[in-house]
Amino acid sequence: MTNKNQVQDQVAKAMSSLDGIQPATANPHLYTRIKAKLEQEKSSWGWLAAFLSRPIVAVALVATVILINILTITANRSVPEETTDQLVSLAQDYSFQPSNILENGFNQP
Amino acid sequence: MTDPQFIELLRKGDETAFHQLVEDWKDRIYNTALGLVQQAEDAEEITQDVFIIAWKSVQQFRGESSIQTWLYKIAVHQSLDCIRRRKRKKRFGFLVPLFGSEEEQEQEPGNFLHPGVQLEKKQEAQVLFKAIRKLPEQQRVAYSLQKIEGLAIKEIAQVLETTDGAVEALLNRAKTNLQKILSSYYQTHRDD
Repeated sequence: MTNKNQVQDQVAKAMSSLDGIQPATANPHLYTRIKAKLEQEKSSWGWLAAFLSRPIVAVALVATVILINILTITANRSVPEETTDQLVSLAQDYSFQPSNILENGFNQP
Repeated sequence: MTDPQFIELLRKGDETAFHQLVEDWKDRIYNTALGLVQQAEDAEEITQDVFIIAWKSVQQFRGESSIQTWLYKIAVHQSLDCIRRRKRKKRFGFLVPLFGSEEEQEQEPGNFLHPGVQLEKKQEAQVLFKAIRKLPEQQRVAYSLQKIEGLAIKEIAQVLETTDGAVEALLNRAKTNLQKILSSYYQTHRDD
């Protein structure tokens, strides 16, 4: 038998090696393990994920985040002017002008 | 009991029905997963996950396909997911010693042998399983479902959501590829 024929023979044998294969059987305690896994999921973070993934909860959360963002943006728009005004009047009241400190030579030894 | 009646019980959260589902299908799902992932621990994990997913998603099951097709679809999806994860871990395995423990490194199944293979065909079957791992995903699934799980072409087509013709083409390509892989293997391993 030539080498080529030998190889072909081995290939054919390998290709037919799964003929008549018997199905593998699962663990007889599979259901108990599945139940344990389900219980574990329930007791840990599973319930939180399930709660958050509910459409109503998810939409409500997104709406809350958007509302907080809108409130923050609108609040920030008015705050800088007031704050600036307050700072200017405070500086004027106490004659607190950084340039004056340098001009008056307080930094000199 | 018909499929729709049984599904209705599952939808109602009937645990006896769920127990029945597991007992009726666990061997077939395990056998399918084992044929695809070629590792007993992973196959058992996948089998558990298949039933957990089925239990949780039964509300979305519209009954357009049979319970068999539904469960096989989940099993194939989970098995392919496991194979992809394994490949990713292997590809980035060099990072493990830097960022993780050695234990996390994925072990590529060595010389896998399905427990249902006849003893006298053991050696050839090991070589064939190794060759099956080199097939493209769809060919691997179609070939395993037919050869290991014994599904008919029509059933495979339903699981893969394709036509009978497409499955036949996949199987033909799988056989041609396997013959090529095996030829090359036996040419370099003459003594085997």
